[in-house]
Amino acid sequence: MPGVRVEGLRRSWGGVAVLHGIDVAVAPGTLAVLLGPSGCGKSTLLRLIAGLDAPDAGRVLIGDTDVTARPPSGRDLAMVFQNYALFPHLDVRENILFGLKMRRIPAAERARRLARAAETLGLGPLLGRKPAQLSGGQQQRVALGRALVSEAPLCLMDEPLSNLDAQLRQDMRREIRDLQRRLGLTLLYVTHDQTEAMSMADQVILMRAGAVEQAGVPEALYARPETVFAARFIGTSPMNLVALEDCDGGGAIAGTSGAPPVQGGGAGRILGLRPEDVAAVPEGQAGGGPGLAATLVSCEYHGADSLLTCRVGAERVTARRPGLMRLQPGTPLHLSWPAEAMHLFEAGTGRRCPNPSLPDRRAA
Amino acid sequence: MTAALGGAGPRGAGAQALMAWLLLLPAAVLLAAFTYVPALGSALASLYSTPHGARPARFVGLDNYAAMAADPVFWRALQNSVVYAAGTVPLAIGLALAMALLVNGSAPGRGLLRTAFFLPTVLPMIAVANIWLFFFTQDYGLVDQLLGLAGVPPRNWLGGPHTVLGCMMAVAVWKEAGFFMIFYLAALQTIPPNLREAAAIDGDRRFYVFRRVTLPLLMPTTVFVAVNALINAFRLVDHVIVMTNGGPDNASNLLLYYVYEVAFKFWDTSYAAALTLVLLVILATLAFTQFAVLDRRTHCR
Repeated sequence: MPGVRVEGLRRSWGGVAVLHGIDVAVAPGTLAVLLGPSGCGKSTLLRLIAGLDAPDAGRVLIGDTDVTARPPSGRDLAMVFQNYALFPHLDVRENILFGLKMRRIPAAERARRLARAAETLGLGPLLGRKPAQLSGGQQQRVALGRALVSEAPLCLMDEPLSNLDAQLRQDMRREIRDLQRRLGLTLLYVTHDQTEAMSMADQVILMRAGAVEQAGVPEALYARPETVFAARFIGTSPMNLVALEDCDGGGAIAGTSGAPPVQGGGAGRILGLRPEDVAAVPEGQAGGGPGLAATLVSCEYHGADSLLTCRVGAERVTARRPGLMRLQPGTPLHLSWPAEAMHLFEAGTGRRCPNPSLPDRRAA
Repeated sequence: MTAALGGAGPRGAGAQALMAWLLLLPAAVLLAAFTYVPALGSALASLYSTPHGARPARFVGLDNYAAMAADPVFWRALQNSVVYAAGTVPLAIGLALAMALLVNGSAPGRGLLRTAFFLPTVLPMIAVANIWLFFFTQDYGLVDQLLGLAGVPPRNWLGGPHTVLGCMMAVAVWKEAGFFMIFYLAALQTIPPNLREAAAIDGDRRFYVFRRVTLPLLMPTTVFVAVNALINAFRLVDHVIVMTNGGPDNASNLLLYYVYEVAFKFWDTSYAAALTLVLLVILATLAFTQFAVLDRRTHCR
C-alpha cells in the first residue's frame, strides 16, 4: 500500500490563491482526514491528488512515484464523490463494472470482484436497479462498491456522507473505517464534520484558508490545539475562548476578582477551556476550593449531559455537566478547572503560547 | 387560487371545471381554427373535384388518390423527399453533436466558434438561399473557385439533375446543424461534470466514455432533435423556391414544394389537398415511430 505525499502544492483560481503551498504526508495503510470549513481548500487539495485539476506549483507523490504530471487514470486510485457520481442510465451492476470494463479487465475477474463487492456491501438484491430507484444510503454503497472493485490501493473520498441522515452517517462511518482497516487501504477522506474526523482518522489534517493549520492524531488536536482556530474547530460544543486582562499577580478573565487563574500577564492573551473540563456547581455546594463566581445564563439539556452557559465577569463560559441539571437562569454558580486544562493563546497571532502555570509538556 | 376556485362542495367542483375550460379555451380555439379544422377541411376537399368557375365541386371519392398513384411527378417528389430527409437528418444531427462537443470544452475562442456555428440559424432562409445561389454559380461561384484550385473543372451545380438535390441538402444541413447544436450544448451542460471525472479516474478511453455515458445521456435530446429535423426536412421549401423551383426536370422537387405547385400554380386545390394529406400521414407516422423506438432506448431518469 502506497502512502501519499504532497509537497509545496499551490493552486489559484483566476488570481485568487486557494492553496498556498501545502505539505502533507499520509502513511501507507492509514486513514487521513482533510478537515476544515467550506472554502478552506480541502476539496481542491483532494482533486489535485486525484489529478482532476493540475497544481500551479508543487508535487504529488503516491508511493515514491511523482504522479504530478499523470492523468487521473494513471495514478492507480479510486475516488468517491460527494454526490456519488453514479451513471443515471446504468443499473447498479453496470455502474460498478464500468471502470473494470473500461480497463478491459477479463469478464471472469470482473464477476469475481463484483460478487465480492456486492457481498461486502450487501448490494446483491440491488444489482438490477437504476440509481434513481435507490435511497441515498444505497447510492452511497454503490459509489463505495465502484471504488472497491477497482482494487486501487489508494482511495479518495470527498465528503461521502454529507448527503445522508445522522443515523446512517454514523453507521457508514464505522463501515468505511472497517473496510479501510480490513483491506489495508490508504484512505484520504475530506469532511467539514469534526466528529467524523475525530472518530475515523488515524491522522487529522486541519485546513484553514488554503493552508494546513495543524496536522496530527485526533488526540493531539483535541488535547493540544496549536491555534485558536484549531481550538474552536475541534470538539463538540467548542472550546471556551475568553480574553484575559492583567491583574495583580497574573492574568484574569475580564471583570472577575479573586486569585488570578493564570500566572504572568493576561493582556493580549486568550484563555481556552473545554466545556468538559469546567466543573460548575451551585454556589452553596462548592467545596470552597479555588474557582470563580459565575451566574447561570442558560441551560441546554442534551440527554447524556447538560450545557450550562454562565456569565463570568464580562465573558461567557460554557460548562458541560453529566445528566440533567434543573437550574433557573440567574442561579449563582461556582466554576473551577484543573490547571492543566487551561490552553493559552496569543490574541494577536492566534497561536498557542506556553502556560506559565505548568511545565511546558512539549518541552518535557 | 384554491380559495378562488372554491374547492369544497359540488358547486365548487362545477366552478372549478368551468374555470379549467375557460383557461383552456383560448389555446383550444386557436388550435381548432388553425390546425384541426383546416386539416379536416383538406381531408374533405381531397374527396371532391376542384371547382372551376361555373362547375362546382362534386364528390369523386378516391379519384384524386388514384390520380396521385399514376402521377410520375408525385413519385419523383416523394423519392426526392425521402432521399433529402435520409441524407440531411443524420448529417445535421451528427454535425450538431460534433460542433456541440467541440464548443462545450474550454478551448480558447469557443465563444466565437459558438456564434459562428449558430449564425446560419438566425439568417433568414431566403437570404441563405441567395448566398448559396452564388456559391453554386458556375465558374464564378465559391464552390467552383475552390474546386478550380484543385484542378476540378467547373460545372453547373444547380442545373445538373444529378447534383442539384445534393446541393439543396448541403444548404439544409448547413442551416439546421447550428440550431440543433444549441440543444446538444444545453444537454451537455446538464451532465454533471462529476460523471466525466469519475470516468477519468477509471480510465482514459474517451471514446468509451462518450459511447457509454455521454451518448446515452444525450438520448432525450437526440429524440427531440431527430423528430424536429425530420419534420423540417419535409417542411423546408424556401430554398427550393429561391434556388431551383424544383428543377431541372423535377430533380429537386420536394413533396411540399409539389403541393405548393399544384395548389398555387396549377390551381388544382383538390389534388393539392390529397397530396397534403399524404404528406401529413407520412409525417405523423414517422414522428410516432421515432418517439416509440427511441423512447424505448432512452433511459428513465
